[in-house]
Amino acid sequence: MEKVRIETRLPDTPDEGTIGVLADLRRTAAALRSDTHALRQMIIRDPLYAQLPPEVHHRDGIRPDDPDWLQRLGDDAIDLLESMLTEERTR
Amino acid sequence: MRIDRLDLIAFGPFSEMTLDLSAPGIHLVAGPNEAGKSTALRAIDQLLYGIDERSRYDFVHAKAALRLSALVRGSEGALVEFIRVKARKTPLRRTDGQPLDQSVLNTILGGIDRATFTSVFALGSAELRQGGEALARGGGDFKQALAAARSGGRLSDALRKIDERLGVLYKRRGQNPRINTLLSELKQARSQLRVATLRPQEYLEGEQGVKDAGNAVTTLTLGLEQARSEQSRVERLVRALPGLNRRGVLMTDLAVLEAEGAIAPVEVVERLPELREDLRLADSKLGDTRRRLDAVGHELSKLAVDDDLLAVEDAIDALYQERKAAAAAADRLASFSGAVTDLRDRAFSLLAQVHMNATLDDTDLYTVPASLRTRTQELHDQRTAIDVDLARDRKAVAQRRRNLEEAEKRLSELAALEDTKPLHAALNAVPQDLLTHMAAADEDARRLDDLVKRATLELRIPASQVGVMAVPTRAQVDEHMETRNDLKRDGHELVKQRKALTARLDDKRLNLNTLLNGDPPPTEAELAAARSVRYELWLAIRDGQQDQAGDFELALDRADQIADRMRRDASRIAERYRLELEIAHDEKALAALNEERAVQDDRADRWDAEWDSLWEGYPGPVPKPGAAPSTLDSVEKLRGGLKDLGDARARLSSLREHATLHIARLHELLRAPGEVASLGAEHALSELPELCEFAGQRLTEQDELARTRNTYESRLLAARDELIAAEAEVAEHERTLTSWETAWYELLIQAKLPTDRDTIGALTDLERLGQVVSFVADAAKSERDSEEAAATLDRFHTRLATTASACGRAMPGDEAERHQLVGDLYKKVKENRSAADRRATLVADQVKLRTETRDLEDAVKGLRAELAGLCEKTKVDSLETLSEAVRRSETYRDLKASLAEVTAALPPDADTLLAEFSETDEHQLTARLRTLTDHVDDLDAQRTRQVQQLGEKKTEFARFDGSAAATQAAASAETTAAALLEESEEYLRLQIARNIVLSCMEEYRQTQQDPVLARASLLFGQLTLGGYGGLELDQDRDSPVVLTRRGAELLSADQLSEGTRDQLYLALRLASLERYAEQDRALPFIVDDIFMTFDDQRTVAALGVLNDMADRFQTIVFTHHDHLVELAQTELPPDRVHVHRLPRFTPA
Repeated sequence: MEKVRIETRLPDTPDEGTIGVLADLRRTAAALRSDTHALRQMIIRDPLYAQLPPEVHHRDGIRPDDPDWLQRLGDDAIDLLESMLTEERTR
Repeated sequence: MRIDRLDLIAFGPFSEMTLDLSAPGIHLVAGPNEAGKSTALRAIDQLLYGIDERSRYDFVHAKAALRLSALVRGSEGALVEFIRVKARKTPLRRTDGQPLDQSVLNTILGGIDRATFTSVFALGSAELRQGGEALARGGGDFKQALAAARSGGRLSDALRKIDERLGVLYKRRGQNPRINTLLSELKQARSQLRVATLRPQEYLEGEQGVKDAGNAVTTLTLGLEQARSEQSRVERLVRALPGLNRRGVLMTDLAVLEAEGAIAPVEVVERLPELREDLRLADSKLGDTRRRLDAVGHELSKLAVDDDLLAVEDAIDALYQERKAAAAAADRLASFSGAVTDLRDRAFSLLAQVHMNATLDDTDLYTVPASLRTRTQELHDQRTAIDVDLARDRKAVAQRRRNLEEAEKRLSELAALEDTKPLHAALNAVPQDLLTHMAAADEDARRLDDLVKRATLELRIPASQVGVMAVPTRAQVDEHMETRNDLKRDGHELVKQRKALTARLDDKRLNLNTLLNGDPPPTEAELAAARSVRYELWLAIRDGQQDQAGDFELALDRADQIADRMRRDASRIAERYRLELEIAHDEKALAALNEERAVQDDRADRWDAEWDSLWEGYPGPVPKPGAAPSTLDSVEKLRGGLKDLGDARARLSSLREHATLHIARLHELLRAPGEVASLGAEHALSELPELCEFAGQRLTEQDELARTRNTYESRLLAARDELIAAEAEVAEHERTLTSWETAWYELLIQAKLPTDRDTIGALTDLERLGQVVSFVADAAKSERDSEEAAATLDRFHTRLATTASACGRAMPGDEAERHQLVGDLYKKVKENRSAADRRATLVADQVKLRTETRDLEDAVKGLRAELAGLCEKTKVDSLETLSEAVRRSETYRDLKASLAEVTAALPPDADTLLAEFSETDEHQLTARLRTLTDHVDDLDAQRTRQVQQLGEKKTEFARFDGSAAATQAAASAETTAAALLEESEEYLRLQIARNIVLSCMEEYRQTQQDPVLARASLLFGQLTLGGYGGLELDQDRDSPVVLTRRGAELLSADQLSEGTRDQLYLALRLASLERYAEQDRALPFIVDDIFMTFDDQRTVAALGVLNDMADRFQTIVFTHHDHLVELAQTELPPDRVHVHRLPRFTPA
């Protein structure tokens, strides 16, 4: 089976402010995204990581040593946050 | 940025509504429920950042018609006016319709995105409440409080949701979260996989058992197959026996047929019928063609054609075509001679009517030029017009003379005019507003009189004592009221304390009764009895009576129970003693409260006496304390009313005197005073208007008379002028008539007409002379036509004579016979032409039929030769024997087909089977088949049983075979691992998101903690009217916690009341908001009914805080409480409060 990953993001709109919570989040996320070492530490220090079996550490699995995988996880996290913070307006 | 004007052109319930928000201070937008406050609030967000794609504000206007507009002012003072529409293309436009780039607006917005605007610059009651609750829930965690205040609670909400989702996914030592469950499932699947292993010896035994059972099944299967094969062969032979017998009979019949004679080959059998039919058809066609050839020859021999006549057929056709023209020419020639004479006679007769002695040769007498005819008609028309004009103008002169006489008569009958100037002056001297003032003064006097009467009735005081009554001052009343309120408050507090104390005392008495009613403690007798029994038992055991040991143990147990009971009783006694002490204490306190209550009652009595003495000078009943302010208000109102009543009466008297003077002057000037009687000064208000109206009527009548006289004089002058003008017109027409008569005489001379002719007579003469010219011309034309007809007739006669000679016919003398001859020749030509056409057709048919006859003769010959060939091929010598051979051939083929069919139905090995079996009798074979069938059934049953045994062996063996279970366990492990991976990624993603949020919060706290805390502390003090001294941080915790100071006490957020918590959140929110202003990025701050939990005093305090901020932030407050509007208008400076009312929306 092929693993399909769907990425969605809001189009550029006036929402792309330079000040405010979203802007701060984006700045923090950008800093974190560029620091893959910090991201890796964050993951391997989590109690869950120690409990994970070898079956999830394959080519498409949990790969804290893979910078691409780490950055993708970071992107997903900021997308998740943005959707949580803007969902009020779309309700 | 500020919004100076907001136009709700088409949005939600609004149509063309404008809010002017340009004034400084607070803007209150007030309206009832459903007025659209929330919509107006959302309109600002949509205006600045775009109308939502799926807008829900289209319930009045269509989506495409949604439209907002505004005039906004940037922080630098730049003004931008724009329109926002619901469109993908150019949603932002200037007022002239040109597109406006969003970047222009973004610059004014200072980089603040929509989410920040809606969460930071807008605050509603629900959000305020949630903010306060979140503060309490978080125990005042300052990092979260700051983040909530800055993001409108969204960061905190997001963090809470993330934590919830994390909790659902995984807990370190949990069992139920999804990842924990999956880890357990994976472990179990692995364990199952390990268990699914094989034991070798059991496996080999099981495998041998299966193999043996399989061999037995194979042996039985082979025996069964052999038996079934034998059974099948016998069955096939039994089924084939009838076919084999039939095959023998058919072969015998064939041998007999071959012995009878020749058998025609198949191709002969198939060809012979066709050949016979072809021969028959060819013979028939040949006979028919020969008959048709004979008929054509016979018709040709009888056909006759005149070729001489056909040689001149064109000339005859031409004569036939010309014969009608020749007859017409002959007719015209006969008629022309009489017509010419008639035309000349008629022309002469007409000429004689005009010129008696003239002849047709005098062409100059009857040939009149067209110009003279036209001129005659013109003069006739002129004369007619002159006569009409002259008659009309003469009639007009007579009419205008009568009009003049009538006007002179009316003017003389009008009355003489009077001098109206004195009456005008007297009327103008009456002031226009005199009556209005009199009426107003009269109304004021009546109204005030009623007011005074109602006030005295309400206060229940005699009217005579109103002037001398005395009441206490407001200060005295307020002082007494304050004392009374203190008394009431103390009384309420006393009652409350007494009630609480009584309840507590009742509870304690109940507990004491419960203790007293419990089981009594053990008595000395019981203790002594127990000791005695135990001692006796011990002595018995010591003496060796071991059977008493059980009883002794029971006695010991009973001793323990008594000891426990005594310990419990000791506790109960201690509890009872404590309760008795507390009850005594509470009873003393209750007695003290009762004494205090008596003192309170004495103070209340003294207060009542002082209250009555305050109202001694008041003639009415002493008011209740609560009604005293309104009584004082009524007394003040009564006194004011009395003063106003005196003023109104004096003003009315003065106005009446003025009116009386004007009435006297008007009476003097009016010539018919008897029509309006004088009624005196009291009735001036009604008399003066009547007199003024009468004088006005008199002046109107005189004005009307003057206007009538002027009108009549004007009409008289006009009538005179019109008469003179009409007489001048008549004279002019008479001069025109004289000139016309001269021109008429000259025309008659030129036309050589008699000079006594009038215009009608002259026009008649000219008509007759015109007819003379026409008749003379017609006679000349008839003469020319007669000559042409004679020439045509000559040409026809010459051509006829030539043609008749060529045909051998004589030329007739009579014209009718000549035409008869042309007809005959034409008919003959037509007949000969048809005969010649028929002859040509017959000749062609004759040639064609001869060719066909030859072809058919050849075909018949060929068919006969083929028939002879068929006889030779069949080896017969005649057509009859050929037919016999063909008949035999058909029987032969039928037998062959049956034989083939029977042979095909037989089994392929039928002959072999027949040779193998010794017996060929059907009965013997059937008996043998039955025996074989029984044997097969027996073997089949044995095999079924053996197969069943094999299945059992396999099932037994499968239990040793772990491969399926292992596969299942492996698949389960794989599925669980995939789910685990999915959930783990989600968990790690949420953890990263959580860390981002916490990092943001911490970063903001570190940079903004001190300034925001300082400002929020100040604001919180203002919002709580100084009830709280401010805010402090407890830095000793893991995360700093905000504490509120009340006096010397420090309270955390969860210890505050609901309203105070809301005010704490508001203070933090406003302090965070000011950080934006400091960066020059202030957008309008919009609040929606946030004062729900505020009392009036704190509401006023909050309005004051907002007003102070309004110069840095445009502040817009939405509310549906009129009370809030009244508070704002009362408590804030008038120029700092601007109220905008929204009407209630009523759906169509």
